[in-house]
This record gives sequence, structure tokens and C-alpha cells, in this order.
Amino acid sequence: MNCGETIKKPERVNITCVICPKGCNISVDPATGDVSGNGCPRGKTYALDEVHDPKRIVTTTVRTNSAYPEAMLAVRSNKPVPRKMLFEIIAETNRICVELPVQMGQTILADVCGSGSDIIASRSMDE
Amino acid sequence: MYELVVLGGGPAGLAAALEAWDQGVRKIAILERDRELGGILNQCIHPGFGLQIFKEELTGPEYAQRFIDTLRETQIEVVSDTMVLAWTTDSDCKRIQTVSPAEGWRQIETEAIILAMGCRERTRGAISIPGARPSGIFTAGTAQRLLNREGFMVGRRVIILGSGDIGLIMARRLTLEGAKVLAVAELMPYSNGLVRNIVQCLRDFDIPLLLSHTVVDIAGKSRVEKVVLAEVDEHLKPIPETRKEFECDTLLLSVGLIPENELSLQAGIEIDPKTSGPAVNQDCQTSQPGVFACGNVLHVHDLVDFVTREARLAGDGAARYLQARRTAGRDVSSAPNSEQTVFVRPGKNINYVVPQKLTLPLDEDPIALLLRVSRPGKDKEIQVWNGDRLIKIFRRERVAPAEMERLVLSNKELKSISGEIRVVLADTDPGTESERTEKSGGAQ
Repeated sequence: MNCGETIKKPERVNITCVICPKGCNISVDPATGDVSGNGCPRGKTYALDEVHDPKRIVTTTVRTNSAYPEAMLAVRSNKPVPRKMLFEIIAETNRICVELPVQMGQTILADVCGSGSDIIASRSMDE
Repeated sequence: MYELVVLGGGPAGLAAALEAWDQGVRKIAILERDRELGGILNQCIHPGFGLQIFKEELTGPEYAQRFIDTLRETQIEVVSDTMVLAWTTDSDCKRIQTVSPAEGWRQIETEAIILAMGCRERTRGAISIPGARPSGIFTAGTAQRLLNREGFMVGRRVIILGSGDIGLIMARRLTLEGAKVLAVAELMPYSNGLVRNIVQCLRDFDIPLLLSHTVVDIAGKSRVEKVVLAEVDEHLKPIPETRKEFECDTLLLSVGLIPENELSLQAGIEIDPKTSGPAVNQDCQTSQPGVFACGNVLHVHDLVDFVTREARLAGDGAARYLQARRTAGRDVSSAPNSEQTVFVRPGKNINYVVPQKLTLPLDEDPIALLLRVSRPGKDKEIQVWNGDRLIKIFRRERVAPAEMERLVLSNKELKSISGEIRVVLADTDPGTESERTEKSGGAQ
């Protein structure tokens, strides 16, 4: 075991808030959870989430058996997924082909990559 | 004969047709060029739509689907795969000429028309980029359609010119699908994109944003092989010493949108040179009685919720026009005279204002002025003047040309207006800071 490694003191992280168009520059100390520079309480929550576990709604497309040139089905995650899983999830959705028809909201991939989020259809598509 | 024909089945056309239906208009048709309804929303698969109208964050297709599902509950006719060639007007009706694979050439008669044809992208020709002309140069929206609807990757190593939201969104989308986006270049010293898109589309993936940069050369024989960027000076002139070469196979252009008004021009409708869209009154009625316009064909919007609101005004305006025709016979077809018209003019540091005119008498409803400022700024106020009378001040912590402003004036505030309304952008007087602070709305 390598126990001799010195633990580096974490530095403050700068986050640009995206909750509203104002775009406050928020400074966060990840160790203590100290937040400064936020213009409102929503900014504090956002900045802490961004430092500890940034999450994103993932949107992409999946193939279908449509005969038309516009054969891709727009899909999304029903909940935000960890940002670090984005590429893994897109690789997974690129592997499948969906049988039409589908209804908006229909589950296309349940618990995608074990993220706890489902990939659902963003629209209805008949043919 | 139809009562109302809507040209275009995107968000503006859908909302306008549904509003007219809700106001009692029964013989309505939507003419759509594409195979499906929904317009540009079908390819905007990212979230961020509908915060104001639906109070939740939807993707583009979800936003469209909600309107399409509502439309299915009405008897509004949808004529898809159909191009409108022109329309003519005579005293009792308008005749629209269309062409489609299913029916060939056809003429449709209607009492009123709503223009909802949307906009087009500016191309390489519009901004005169020098260099070779190989394949691999796309407008961002075309690339978006190819990728998100048809499933084609447009390239592997990509430069994007223009940091508007479409450019930023495509940077992320291409990255997620395995392409390498080398840089997003922006001519201006600031981005026209939303902060959220800068963070979530560029910074999340370490894509550099090069401000005050432009494309000065493109090389490649059959396919793009190299794009040369250079910094620009304060007069937006490229500085030769700053040239940087990027080996890549694709260049995406996200360099602006223009309302698509070939049909309107052909029909002799008055166009505002500032917006490149029809000049309209508070009901979205154009210079031709019975012809209304809404959405991106009227002026380019950044929020679809603003399009929906505007389209509802047009739908409601068309319904009231039709009702007036029923009660007053055919006479309402004449345009309002000059005494009934108050012009709304953009003043200092305001790029444009819609509507361009108000037709008197005004009814009880408040009137929203939609406008863009001509330069970014902090601690500003937008003043609305009628002659030398200051009607109202709207304070803004920050303004930017990329963010459309919506100023609502009540019936009371607009009482006894005449002549001309002028809107100007000025610095906030620090002495009177405390009152009447307005907050700008949600983001997309």
C-alpha cells in the first residue's frame, strides 16, 4: 500500500452558473462546501452539484426501421445522468434499432448503463 | 373555400392554427413543405424548450409533439409535402397556388392567411469566406438535420464558425457522436450563445472558444483538408500574423438566420429592412389586410415560447379579422388609414422593434413590444417615448443583441398615444435605481 503519498489540499473551483442568463461566477471550496459569488440561493445548490457530481440530461437519436430518410428517433434520459457517463450511454443507444410505431415518453432503454435513468422517446413516430 | 390557411407547420404555424381554432374558426388548413409537422423543432433534440409556456424543460420534438397531439383533437386539416408557389388577392378571397407529389399543381381559396414559413440560414456566400470550395462545408442547421433526423455524421474533425446557440449545440452533439471539434471561432469579442450552452456544450468537453477570430482560408481538393483562422482587430479585420492552421475535414457555419420571405415579397407585402420580415401591427397583421405573420418569418427569435405567444396573437388576430368580415361585409379588407396608425420606431441603440405599428383604437389587451438592442451593455434602461412623453422605463441589469427583450405596455399606459412611439436604450440613472426593476425571463 502506498501510504506515503501526500494529500494535496483541494483548491477552490470556479463555476459559471447557468441557472439564469446572468451567468454568475461562483467560487466553491470542495472540501468545506464554502460557496461565494452566487447571486441567489439557487446558484449555491447548482455550484455544489457541479463540483461534486455534475449531471446532465442526455439527448441523442436511435435508429428505427422507418422507410423514410428521416429515420432517426429523438430520445432523451428521463432524469439527469452523471456527466462522466455521457459517452458510454451514447455508445449504448447507437447499438440499438427501434421498431415503429413508438409513442412519446415510451421507454426505449430501461436503466441505461446502470445509471438509474431510462432512455425514452422524445416524440411519437408511426412509420 | 377555407377561412384560414396557415403557411408552415412549425411551432409558429401550429400555435397560430390552434389559437384560431380555439377562437371559433372552423375551416383551417396548414400547408407544410416537409413530410411531418414540427418544423425545426424536430431536429432540435436538446432540452431547454418550454420553460415559460409549459413550466418544464422539454426537448424540441417533445415541444412540437404536444402541439401536434392537440391538433389531432381538432378538425384542422394538414396538407403536408406541399410547397406554396405564390398567392394572389382579389376583393373577396385569396388564391394560393401549391404543388405536391400527390396532387400536382393546385389552387386553394381562403379568406385569411397566416405566414409561418420560418427562416433560413446564412451561408458561406452571405459572409464571403475566401478559399477553395471543396465538400465538407455545411451550415450548422443542415448538419443538424443530417445528423439528428437522417443519421449521417457530417465529419470527424470539425471547426465551427459562429458561437450562436446552434453552433454550440452542434459542437456538443458532434463530440458525443465521436467527432473531434477543434475549435469554435467567433468574430465578435463576445459569444451570442447562452451562458448555459457555453458551459454545457463547450467547457464540458474542453472545446476552445476563440473570440475575435474568423475563417480566412479554406484548403482542400475534393474534401476540406485545412481551415485557417485568424484573430480580428477592433474593426473586425483579420490580423495576418495571427493565422493558425487547423487540419480538419469539416467546417460548420453558424452565422445567422434570415426570415424566409420570398412569398411575402412576391405578394407585395411591406418588409421591414431591419428584421427582413413583414412590418406588422399589434395583431401581427401585415400591410395586406387578412394576411398575418408570426414566428421566425416575422423576425428571428431565440425562444420558442416567444414564437408560441406571437403565433397566438396572429391566430387571434386572424379570428377577429374573419369575424369583422362577417359583421361588416367585405369592407374590412381596406387597410387602416394614417390617422389610425401609430408607428413604433427603434431609436438609439435599438436594432428593431416588432410590431412596427399600432392600429387604433387599441383594445383592452396589453401590448408586448419585442426588440433587440444593437450592442451589449450593463445597467441599462429601455425607454418608451410617445413624442416627448416618456411612457415607461424598463430597467435591465444586462442587455445583449442575442437576447430578445419583451416589453409589456398596459392599455392604460398606451392611452391617448398618437403619431409615433420611439424606443431607446440609455444608461440607468443611478439616482432612481430602486423602483421598477424588471427581471428578464427564462433561458433556452
